[in-house]
Amino acid sequence: MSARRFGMVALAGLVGAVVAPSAAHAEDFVLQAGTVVTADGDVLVDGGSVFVSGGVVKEIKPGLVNPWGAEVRSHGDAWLLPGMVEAHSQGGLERANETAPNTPFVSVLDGLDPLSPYFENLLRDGVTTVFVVPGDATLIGGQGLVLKPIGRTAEEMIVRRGAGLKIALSPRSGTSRMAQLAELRRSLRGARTAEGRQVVDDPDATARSPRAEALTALLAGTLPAVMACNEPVDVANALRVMEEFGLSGFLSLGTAARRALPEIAKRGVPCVLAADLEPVESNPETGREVRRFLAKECVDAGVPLVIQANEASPYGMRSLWYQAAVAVSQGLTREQALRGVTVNPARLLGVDERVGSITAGKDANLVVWTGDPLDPASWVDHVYIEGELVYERAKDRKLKRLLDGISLGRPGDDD
Amino acid sequence: MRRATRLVGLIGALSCAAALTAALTPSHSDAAERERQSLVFTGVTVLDGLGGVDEDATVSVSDGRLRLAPVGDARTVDVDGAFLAPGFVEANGRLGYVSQEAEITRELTAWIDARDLADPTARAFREAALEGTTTVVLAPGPRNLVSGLSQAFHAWTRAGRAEPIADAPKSLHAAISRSPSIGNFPPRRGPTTSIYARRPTTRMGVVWLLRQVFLSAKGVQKATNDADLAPYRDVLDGRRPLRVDCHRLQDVNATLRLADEAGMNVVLDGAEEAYLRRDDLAKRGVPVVLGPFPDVRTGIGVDFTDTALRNATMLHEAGVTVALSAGTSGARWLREQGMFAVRYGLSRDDALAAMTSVPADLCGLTDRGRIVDGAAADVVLWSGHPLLPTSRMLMVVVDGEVVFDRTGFVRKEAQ
Repeated sequence: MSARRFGMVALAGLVGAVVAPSAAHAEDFVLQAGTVVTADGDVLVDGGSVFVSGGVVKEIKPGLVNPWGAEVRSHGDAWLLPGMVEAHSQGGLERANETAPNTPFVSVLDGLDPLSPYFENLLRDGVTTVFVVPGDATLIGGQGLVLKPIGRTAEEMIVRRGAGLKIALSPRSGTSRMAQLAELRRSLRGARTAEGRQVVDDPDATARSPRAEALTALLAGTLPAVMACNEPVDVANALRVMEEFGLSGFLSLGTAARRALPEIAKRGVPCVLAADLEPVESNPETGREVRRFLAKECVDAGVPLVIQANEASPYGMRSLWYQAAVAVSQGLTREQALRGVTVNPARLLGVDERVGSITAGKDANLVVWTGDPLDPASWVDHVYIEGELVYERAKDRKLKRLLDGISLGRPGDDD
Repeated sequence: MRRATRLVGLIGALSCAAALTAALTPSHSDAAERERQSLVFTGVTVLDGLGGVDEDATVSVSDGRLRLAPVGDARTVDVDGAFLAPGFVEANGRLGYVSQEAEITRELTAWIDARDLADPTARAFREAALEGTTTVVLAPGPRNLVSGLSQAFHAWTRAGRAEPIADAPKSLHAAISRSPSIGNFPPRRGPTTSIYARRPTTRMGVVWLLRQVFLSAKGVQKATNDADLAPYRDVLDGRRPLRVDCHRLQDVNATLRLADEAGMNVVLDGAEEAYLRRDDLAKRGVPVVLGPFPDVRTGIGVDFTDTALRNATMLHEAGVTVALSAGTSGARWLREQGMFAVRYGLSRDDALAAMTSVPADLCGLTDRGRIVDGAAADVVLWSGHPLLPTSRMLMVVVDGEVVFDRTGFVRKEAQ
């Protein structure tokens, strides 16, 4: 596998291992591994072969075979999985929220730093698709994008534009929940009126008004709503507002909103679980503390499981594979847990036709792990996005430096 | 204003007194709880905490002690595929503080005892026990030069609080790092004995003051207050370990220099850059208590140390005695420290020893942190290997008493 063939260019010397994708697709090849988990129902424990052509998965066969006659890239005992899908993140943004409370017109497109270490760390953790969206500190926070974590501009990274508009149901500090809801309804009603007026009065008015543009798309159902709900009451409010205005989209839950999971199941609205999968709840009257197991509660309630990484935990260690392992510790099957970080978030984000599983016709977003991805001793060895090799652990100089620290040689030896 | 301050002080004192009374008053059911239940774990994989694994063992708990044979009239615990491991020992516990973590009004407070430092009912203790930590050796924080004496606690008991382990040896805690001098400044006016005129103000001053007190204790230098020197004499006579909080290589160097001058044994705490002197540490037999891991997102650790995630691995391979600690991040995260130490190169058995028997020995708790005949019954039953995130805690036994029992947590297969 020659470096030149894959157009390997180190990103400004940041990471030798992260390489920019070349414009042309790689030629056809067959990826073979000892264990293949398609996340689409199949677990091939006696080896599997995946035929990739034009950046797309064409066919999957059990066993180490090559009926296609293409170049074989064999990974011995390694595990092959689809790239994981991060359903909710503020990574790569310097600030996650505008200070003004109502900013439907802003988009993460304009705030995204493609060189942020956040994105290269996603590759190191086997994540190939991420939904970056503004935070929850505003009423209408702005628009998010579904991205692949590779590229020099935000545009290069885009998998889906118009992937969601963040709306926070929990009141900002200093306001009441009633006022928050009233303001939200006022904005949506205003947009609806503007929408009506657009047809009657001035067809160009909306085009010139980005604020109206986002809300118009929201009301038309082309831009999904991402409803941030901290409390169960926020879930009830979100569902009501979505019904009143005919919004589509999904919920992003805080830990306390777990109590609304049965209601969410009844309504069939998708949701992302809180980042902390094992919160401790304290009874305000008795002081009794109970630990909750969110992944288990979610599956028990019949809601499709979608897990996000827990950036808030100490030392940034709780990436998607770790979170999936935590879900297994709560009693879920490995298949359920893995679907919670692959196909389920892909469906939630409306990109399941392209990513989320190793399936014929989907993008060749493939991750080679040294072993079981739910074991911390396993590492991501190779990452392919759309058939391009974008990460190789053997060439990851930054990782080596983090692991081994500095060496006390002569000046310059360390470079 | 002044009255308000006094009032706050009074309320603080009263609530402290209340907490103290609660801690010191035996609960009415104490007598019943003291009648320890006998238990027999059968068919479990036993990890003895000393590096050994027995895949089909029987371990009994009787009268607070472990027996490697069945005992009569006992509750039998038989869970398929379960692992029994010693409870983790947090050697550098930094949690549950009611107020400041150190007596920062003076540089040398060797008479401070960590027994009085924490609220034994603090949730952090319970959280630690829920993650398998049965012993927390609480230390005063490194905010002044010599911060005081440690106290070992049972992390959680049936009485609903942490309890001091009777007769546990105490180590003396000092700091050679940035923290004892940061924020100190020479007085602009007024007497230098004022508490606002704290010394030292540099790293040099930190080492100088420590050297002075140990030379005084040795009798080389004239002492001002002889009675205060007893804890230092204990260290010099080898009766009490000196634990030194140090981070950068220069701190490690200064600590070793001081140890040589005073002829005393030291244990390094934190020691993020200790790997750079691993051969010396091995030769001198200086143990280290590592952790927590630095933030892998930034790669910058405490005191701007250079991250080497393989610190524990490199030290261990060089022959240094290594214990793992979650330190300031809270004992709850000790298990996670162990998992990631494995990710960064320690074997599972070595990592487990570094969280059980090694820290227990360093803290003089030589009958804890191991599963051997006659050892104190601090054990935890896990659904799988304790250093896999897919495993969950099933039962926690502290000093022979079942503190948490989740063996009834039925795995529910969902659709």
